[in-house]
Amino acid sequence: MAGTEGKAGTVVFSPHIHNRSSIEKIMWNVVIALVPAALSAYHFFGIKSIIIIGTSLLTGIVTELLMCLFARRPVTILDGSAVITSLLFSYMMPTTCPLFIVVSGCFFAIAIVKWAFGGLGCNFMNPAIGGYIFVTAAWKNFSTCGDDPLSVFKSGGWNAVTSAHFENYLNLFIGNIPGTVGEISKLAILAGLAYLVLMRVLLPVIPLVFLGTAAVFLWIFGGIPAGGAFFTGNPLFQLLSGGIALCACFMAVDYVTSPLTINGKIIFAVCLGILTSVIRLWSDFTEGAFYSVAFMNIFVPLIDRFTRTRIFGYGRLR
Amino acid sequence: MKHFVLGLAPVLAVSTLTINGIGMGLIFALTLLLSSGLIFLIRDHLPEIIRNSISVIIIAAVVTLIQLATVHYAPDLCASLGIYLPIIAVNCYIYYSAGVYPGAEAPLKTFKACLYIVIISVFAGLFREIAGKGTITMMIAGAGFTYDLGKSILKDISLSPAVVFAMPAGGFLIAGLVLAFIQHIKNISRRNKTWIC
Repeated sequence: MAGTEGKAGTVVFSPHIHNRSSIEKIMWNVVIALVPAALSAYHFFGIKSIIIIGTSLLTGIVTELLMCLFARRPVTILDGSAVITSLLFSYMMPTTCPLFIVVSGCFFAIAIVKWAFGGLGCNFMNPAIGGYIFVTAAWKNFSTCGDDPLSVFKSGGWNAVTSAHFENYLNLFIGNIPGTVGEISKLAILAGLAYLVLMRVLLPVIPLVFLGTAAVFLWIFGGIPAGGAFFTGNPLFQLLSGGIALCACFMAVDYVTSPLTINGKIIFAVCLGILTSVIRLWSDFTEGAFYSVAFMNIFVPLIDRFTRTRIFGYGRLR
Repeated sequence: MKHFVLGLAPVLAVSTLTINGIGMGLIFALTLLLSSGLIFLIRDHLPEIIRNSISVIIIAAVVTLIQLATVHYAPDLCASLGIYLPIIAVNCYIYYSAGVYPGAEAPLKTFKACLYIVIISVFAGLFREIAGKGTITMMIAGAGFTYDLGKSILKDISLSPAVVFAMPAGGFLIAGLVLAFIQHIKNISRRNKTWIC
């Protein structure tokens, strides 16, 4: 602590560990981790995907500037959170999406889901998912992708998947399939997650438990809606199709809207996996991951309350 | 403020058309003014023990009168407001028991509540219809007009209305935004410079 100026130099109690991370550093690391997915989108969809990502970025930054001015706070464009929200929002849009939908969804995500609740750190829901839910509720026909493997599987079963040639797991993994901008390439998403883990931005607890729970649940109950027996689901296809990988690796792990402790993270992720599977198997929606994250974000304060760590020297919390 | 939010239920439920929003706001404000005025006039002459019962009877009578008048003069408006018109009585009673009417500053408080309700319902009706359906409906009792924005202004632009605003979720969204805006103005006028998340 020697030589530290200001408040930090006066804190002498408790063993504090100094860490050089800051909001800016973490946020820009996440932005770097999101770049591979953008590159894969450019590779498979061409310039259309870049137009959607660029529109979303521009809208997000302008909205952040406007809301900072409106709330009379210091301009926080450079901390990167608006960039992350815009990128994640554009990754959930199909390439056929009209641009006014991208603009209004990204505006809703930043202006209302994030800033109306007080800005970075005060939002109760992941802003990108809030924007996605708004857009899917408002313009369902334009903002959802009808020909990705999961929709095909949902509407026509496994026979439709094989007739559309989506049964190649390698294609599903590297992203050579129709779908939304950022969710197609699981390889790029996992590369981003690996970068985040290596840079110690996050522990991969939530992604692993989320995907594991969803895989087990979909393996056990996956065949039931089509009239099959237990243990006849296809978890590998389910995990490699749809947006569950993007959701688990970048949205469920958001610092603001996920529990603080490891136990809390495990409870959160197990609930996410079960909810996602239930929505995928028995509801009208095709993709359940985004809705389940939005739903569980509401319970995060409750989970935090019940998984508080014990203070040293004191008894168990009751 | 929180009692005020409780009273907003009928306004949010029917404000999917502009005329419904205007009608609901005006009827609500009229009921509130009449019933609170009557209660304000006679409340000091009543014994404590029957004051609440008499207030309920007055509110119910005023709502019934206004509903009968609406049925007579604007049957289509009454049909589209439906069950939410009698429910105004419940909300007026909520306002009464929340302490909006009694006290020396009762008239001012009631006028403020009426003003807020009219502003919110007109704004909610207008915004929800424009955003959710792309039209402005001003039809009452067979007279008036329906202005279709999609045909006249947005002819060449491929914008489609956001149906979420015509659904109940849109009502809550608009109400939350309007309340946040009112609170924001209050905060500015108080010159409150401490930010609380």
